[in-house]
Amino acid sequence: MTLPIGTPGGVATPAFNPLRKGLRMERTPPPCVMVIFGATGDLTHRKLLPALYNLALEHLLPEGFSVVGFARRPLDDAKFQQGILESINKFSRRRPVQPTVWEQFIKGIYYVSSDFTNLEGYQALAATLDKIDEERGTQGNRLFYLSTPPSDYEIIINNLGKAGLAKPQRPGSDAWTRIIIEKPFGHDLKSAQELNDVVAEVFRENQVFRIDHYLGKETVQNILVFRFGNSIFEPIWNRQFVDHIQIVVAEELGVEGRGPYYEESGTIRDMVQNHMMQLLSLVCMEPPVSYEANAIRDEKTQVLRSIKPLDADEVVERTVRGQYGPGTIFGKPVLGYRHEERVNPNSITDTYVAIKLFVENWRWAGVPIYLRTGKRLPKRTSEISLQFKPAPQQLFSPSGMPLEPNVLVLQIQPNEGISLKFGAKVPGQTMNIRPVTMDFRFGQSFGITAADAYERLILDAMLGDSTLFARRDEVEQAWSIVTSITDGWKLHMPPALPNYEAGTWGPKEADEFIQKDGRNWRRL
Amino acid sequence: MTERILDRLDSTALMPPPGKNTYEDVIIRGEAKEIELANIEKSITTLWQVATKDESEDLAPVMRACVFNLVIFTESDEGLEQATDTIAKLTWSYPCRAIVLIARPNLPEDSMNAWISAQCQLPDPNGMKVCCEQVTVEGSNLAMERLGSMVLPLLVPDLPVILWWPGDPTLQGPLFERLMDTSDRLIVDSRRFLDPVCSFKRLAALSEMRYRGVAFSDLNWARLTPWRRLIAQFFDPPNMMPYLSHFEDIVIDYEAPGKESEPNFSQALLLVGWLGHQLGWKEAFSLQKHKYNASLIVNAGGKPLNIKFIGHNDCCEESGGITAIKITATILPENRAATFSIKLKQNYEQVEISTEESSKPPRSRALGFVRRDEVALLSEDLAVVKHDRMYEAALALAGKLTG
Ligand SMILES: NC(=O)c1ccc[n+]([C@@H]2O[C@H](COP(=O)([O-])OP(=O)(O)OC[C@H]3O[C@@H](n4cnc5c(N)ncnc54)[C@H](OP(=O)(O)O)[C@@H]3O)[C@@H](O)[C@H]2O)c1
Repeated sequence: MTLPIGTPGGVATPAFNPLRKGLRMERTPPPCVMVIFGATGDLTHRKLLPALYNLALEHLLPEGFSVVGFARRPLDDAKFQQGILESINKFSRRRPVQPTVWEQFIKGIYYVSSDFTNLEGYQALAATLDKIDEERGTQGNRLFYLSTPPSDYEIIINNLGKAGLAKPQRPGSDAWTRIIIEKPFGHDLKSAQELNDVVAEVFRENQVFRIDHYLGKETVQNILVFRFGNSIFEPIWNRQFVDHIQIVVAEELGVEGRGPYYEESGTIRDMVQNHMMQLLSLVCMEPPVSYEANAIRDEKTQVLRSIKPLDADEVVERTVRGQYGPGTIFGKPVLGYRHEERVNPNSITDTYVAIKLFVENWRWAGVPIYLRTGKRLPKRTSEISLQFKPAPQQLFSPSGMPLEPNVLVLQIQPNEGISLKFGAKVPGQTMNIRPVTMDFRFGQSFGITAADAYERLILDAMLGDSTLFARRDEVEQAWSIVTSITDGWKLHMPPALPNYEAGTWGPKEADEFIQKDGRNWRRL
Repeated sequence: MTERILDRLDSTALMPPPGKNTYEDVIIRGEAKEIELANIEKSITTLWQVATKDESEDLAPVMRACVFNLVIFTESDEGLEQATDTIAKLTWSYPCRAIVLIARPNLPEDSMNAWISAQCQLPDPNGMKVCCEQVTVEGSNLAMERLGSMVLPLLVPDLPVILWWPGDPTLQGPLFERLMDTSDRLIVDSRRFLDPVCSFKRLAALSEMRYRGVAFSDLNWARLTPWRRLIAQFFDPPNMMPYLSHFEDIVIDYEAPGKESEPNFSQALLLVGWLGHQLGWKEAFSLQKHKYNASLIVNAGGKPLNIKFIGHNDCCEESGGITAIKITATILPENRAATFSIKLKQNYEQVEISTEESSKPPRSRALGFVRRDEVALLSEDLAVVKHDRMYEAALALAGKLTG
């Protein structure tokens, strides 16, 4: 009976809700409205709305929680709701929609139709928000979500400012306003800085949540727990023991109708600047002083700062570009990139990159980090592997053939888990040593279905927890590395493209690229 | 994708390794003294070798996994069947070594038999099978004490031992003590207590005296999680929080099927224990029982707070299950009064949550509700690694309130 409450005859009010204490799911955000810009778009329907529905299903949304969709199409609330129902039935990880949950959920769904450029639309939005506050008790708390083409971010942010919708707090209330911004955040260092300036004109940094859905994945969060929650790995997590690191994000999908977007971005902007840099900084960072948003982001940013941008010659030596031609995936013939819808038939856009980077600090000096990512590779897989240096003496290999090195793999998707490869003696008279793998699968030890990354991240944003979102300096630092590479590429002729067949592990140049260092890509 | 490899070890399905004794020497229906524990362990190893060979050509992808030892005590065939089924399902989330002890009053004196079986899951069709094992030991009443002694050598080293007693635990006696000696956690289901108030009190006393350092848990506590969450939500807005120190009345409806001689409102009691601990109540007048109903007055910050438990026998799906709760509170100086209620509806698939505050329009909403099965409740419980302090505190106060 420890709580500061109920003194005899008194009216003491607790400073926090004591009934929340010890609840296994302690975090329920305060009532709020989420405004989705681009509410009729693909991301909204495939990811955001199903995520919200799943949160509702688990009673994780606050009472009165409401959604306002904002897009150009002239729809009314009912039509918008109907579209949502269809998408949830199609894309939610739990289907079909439960009628009782749905009935409750749609009571708080509204739609405002307007062009992003039209200030009156934002005034209509403000009026809708006031009405919702009044009717549903959302107390002025707002979460804006930019799920629109990136070219619209600036106009939306400015209009939110002009309509008075961006204020961190209204006078005399605790109400908050936050904004989630989708990727891509900028196109290069300069545009990212400019966009950050635009954002900073209207919002304070602690209102801004730059989303990278990779950070919402359980296994990515587990990297920190694995490293800093166990004492046996950290002592060998450095240049004395680690020979090199490989980070792979492979997809079997092609550009899936998003040709124009991809033509602009290429794999390096679509994957490397955000997801892969996030993975890299989590694997390489120093222990943070606390598990607190800024402490963690400080350390991640330090890692990116320790990677020197590449000069033009280094770009040639340390990167490989690729683009897929026609091929076969899972037995089905697929088109080459240049034949995809709305793609330039002479496009030199990269659909594959391999990059070698160095984190030049005390821990990692001299340890190469190889990044490899691409579309139309044989399968979808993401992992980080640390290959350890060989044992100092080849005691068991009289033939002089080196034994296979130890490899620790952090598997991000699918089959989230951790595995360690080591050598073991094959039973018998001879000293035959075979590599064996010790596997740990998260799904198998804790068979709890992990929430979708978007569920976790949207909830975090409502709670104001920015640990799993990218900070301004982090984004810019990642861009400075990537921009040094794209700038370098502009100075050199691209290789003859396409240079790999869809359904294979990328161009042969990429194999030669790592082999000349005396290493190999991990077989996946 | 679920597959069980079950073999009585006296069958010929498992080929013994060459040059070794047959399994007949080991675990067959027979005298208890003939059971050599070391051989059970060996049989398990053989079972895995066979299972592995069975699987495919060379290094077959079977993985044995184990996150704890789960010891289950049951007294009936039905209990054994349920336990086996639960273990199979639990393997998805918690691969473990399960040791099922079954008491058989009808077996001849001293008699004891053992089986082993494997529970395998294939979480990913292209991946590895995850397997873990179940050892089942049956014994006569007289062999019961020795049954306890079977557990120690069968435990997988260095992993927690969880004792799950799904029926009505004795909570005393040599077998209970013996099992508690080896366990890190005891899981019961107070819903199944036959003499609910008495067993509940005993459980609270054991937990409070930190009996043998064991952590206690109760599936009824996991059943309360959604209720606790919904009650807590009423008081999240800062303007509602003051009501917490001004509760006047609480009415809890629960299911009391007519056939039950002794209605079981342990779940409701635990809920009151939790509220009381969090809000600093003290016991005042002890529990009064009238058939299916009961009442209680507590000292809530110097003021009396009336609590009523109302049993409904015109239902019932889950004996003892809470179906509604209503809290009334008045902040006297400001003359603000409110009623907070939560009520299960539509075959327990929906929950209606309402707030009525003086001079404001009433607010009400409905959410989906799922009454979870035993496996889901156990999984929630097993997620807590050590003592669940909140539960133990709620139990302690609830125990005191029963007088
Ligand atoms: N789709 C994905 O899988 C995915 C994954 C990760 C990140 N992202 C990012 O998420 C964002 C959204 O992508 P998306 O694929 O969902 O885009 P999308 O399908 O093209 O949707 C664009 C949305 O913006 C609205 N819109 C466009 N111009 C407008 C204007 N001038 N005025 C008002 N509304 C306008 C559209 O409304 P109308 O249709 O009514 O015109 C539509 O709702 C992008 O930044 C993308 O990079 C997408």
